[in-house]
Parts: sequence; structure tokens; C-alpha cells
Amino acid sequence: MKKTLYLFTCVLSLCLLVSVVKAGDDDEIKKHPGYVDFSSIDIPGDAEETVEISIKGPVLKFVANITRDEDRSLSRVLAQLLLIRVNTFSLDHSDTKNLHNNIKKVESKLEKDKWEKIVRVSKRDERVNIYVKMNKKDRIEGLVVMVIDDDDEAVFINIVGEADWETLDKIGRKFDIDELEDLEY
Amino acid sequence: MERKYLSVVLLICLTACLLPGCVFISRDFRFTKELIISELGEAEVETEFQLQVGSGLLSLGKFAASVADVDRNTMEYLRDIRNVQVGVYKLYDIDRNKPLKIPDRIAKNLARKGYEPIIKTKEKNSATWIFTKMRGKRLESLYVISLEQHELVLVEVKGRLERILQKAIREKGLEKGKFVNI
Repeated sequence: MKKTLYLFTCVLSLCLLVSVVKAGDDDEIKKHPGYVDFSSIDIPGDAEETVEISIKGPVLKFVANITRDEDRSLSRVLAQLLLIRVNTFSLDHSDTKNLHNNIKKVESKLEKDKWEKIVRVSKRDERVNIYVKMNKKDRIEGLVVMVIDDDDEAVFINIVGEADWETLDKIGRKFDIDELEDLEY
Repeated sequence: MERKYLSVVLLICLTACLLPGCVFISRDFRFTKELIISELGEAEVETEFQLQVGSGLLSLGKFAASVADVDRNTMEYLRDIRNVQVGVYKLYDIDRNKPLKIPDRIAKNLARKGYEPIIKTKEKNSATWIFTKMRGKRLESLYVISLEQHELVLVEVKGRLERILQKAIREKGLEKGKFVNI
């Protein structure tokens, strides 16, 4: 009986440890200076088209591993990233006012956290903002892209991890993310 | 003599079918299917194809493939797969005014089993979710849910999937667009 109880306690502790470690992994990414919380930007429930991509460290390392022989530089790049997140959704006019307000809140937070705005395009129906977070070694440790086309769609991208401009261009080309292609600082 | 051989073959087939994880889909897989269908309201559902191929049947398949002198690539792919569940369901009388939606509860249920969503897409008449389960650097499982106006497809594949993807990348290359197709 004692032995059974002891075994049960060990198994339970192991499960608890695994779950704490797993939860810890997600918390670690959220604490990273390159991570941006988009939770205030709600995807409209009735949006006709939406795409949500969330590729975290383990999957990125896995892709890095399997692409090593085919494209060594892409593999190296992916191995250093912690997260690639892309959210896009279709818009209609009724969504845009609320969305612009929420984006302003995110932008205020980015500026408060010393992100640098490197691209700002503001047209009648289109708004593009790109921010980067640089570390002390002058390397990019976070990138945020926010695009709103009032008549079409909204795009939000957050890349977390160490990268340079060539890396971002490569990721944009390989994963078909137009906003990342031909970025220059 | 012939009867004896037939009996042996039948016995082997029956054993393979009765081995755990063979033929009938798992309770979780069925739960996913039923949860999605329950969201579709009054829609009628017809099972076109539903099967689980576990290690027993796969071993039989590998044996049959080796005897039948099947292409080497196919043999290599078979070797890396441990379990496959597939469900294809035809849908009728879907309410076209109601947007097609995969319930969030499915993501929570799969998360409890170690799956994480990597892609979720929704269009006017379709929705697709893809989940992965990693074990360290290894891709242990892939779960795909594809819902369209007339069809629901569920696929769960378990095994050494990194090897399969590595082979696919080697064959198809890593050019823009082709990577997505892999």
C-alpha cells in the first residue's frame, strides 16, 4: 500500500512538473521583449475570412532541422526565432473605427516600451505601421507589422527572436508574407 | 491444404483488426467529429470513409508492400508512420446563412492532449485547422480538420513525421509556394 502511494505521488509530481514547465515555456515567450500582446485586437466574429498562424520555438526548431540540408541559411534563421505569429482578417467599414482605436492602444504601448517605428504609411483607406525592437547588440529581437486596409483586410504580424533585415526578408519570401519582403532599415 | 492457408490468412487479418488502435476510430476522434457536426444544426451527415490504421494493420501493410515489391519511397514513408486516423463525412442541408465554424472547444480538447494549433484559416465556405504535437525536436503527431459546405475531413497521423517531411522537402524543394504545398 505504501509503495503504491509512493509511486502514485511520484507520477503525480512528474505530471505537475511537466505541466508547470510547459506553462513556463509560454510565459517565457510572453516575457520576451520582442513579444507583443495583440489580445486587445479582437478578430470580428463575423469576419468572412481569417487566418491565424502561430508557430512557436519547438516547431520552428523542427522546421530548421528538416530544412538544414536544403537551405542552410533559412535553417539557421529559423533556429534562432522563438515565435512567428500572423493574424489576418477581412474587414468591413463597421469594424474599422473600433479597430483603429485598439491599434492606437497597442502603438502607445509599443512606443512606451521603446520600440522604433521604421515604416509609417497613412493613406485615405490604408494604414501601415512597422515597429522593431532592437537589443543592445543592435540586433532585432522583435518585429511588429500592422496593416489596415479599410475596404479589405487587417494584418498583424509579430516575430519574436533574434534576426536581421536579411533574415526577415528571407522569412517573408519563404512564407509568402508580402509585408516582410524588401524591408530595409 | 488450401483451406488451411485461407484459415491462416483470415486469422492474421482478424488479429490485425483486433489489435488496439486498428480499424475503429478512437473516442477522441469521434468526439471531435460529433462536436463539429453538432454546430452545423440540422445538417445531415453521411460517413463516406472512416478508419483507423494502427500499428498492427500498418505492420501487415508493410509486409504486404515488401512482398508486392512496392516502390522504395512508399516503403520508407510507411516505416515512419505509427498510426493514422481518417474520417471523411459528406454533409447535406447545411444552413448557408450560418457561417461554417470549427468550435473552440476542439482546440481546448486537443490542447489537453498536447496538441498546439499552428494554422487556423476560415473563408466564406470553409475552415481549416492544423495542429502539431512535438516531442522535443521531433514532430510526433499532426492533426488536420477541414470543414467545407459539403464535406468534413479529419486526419490524425502519428509517427516519425519529421522524417517524412524531410523526404518531401528533399523531393519538392523549398521554393516559395512549394513550401506551403508540402
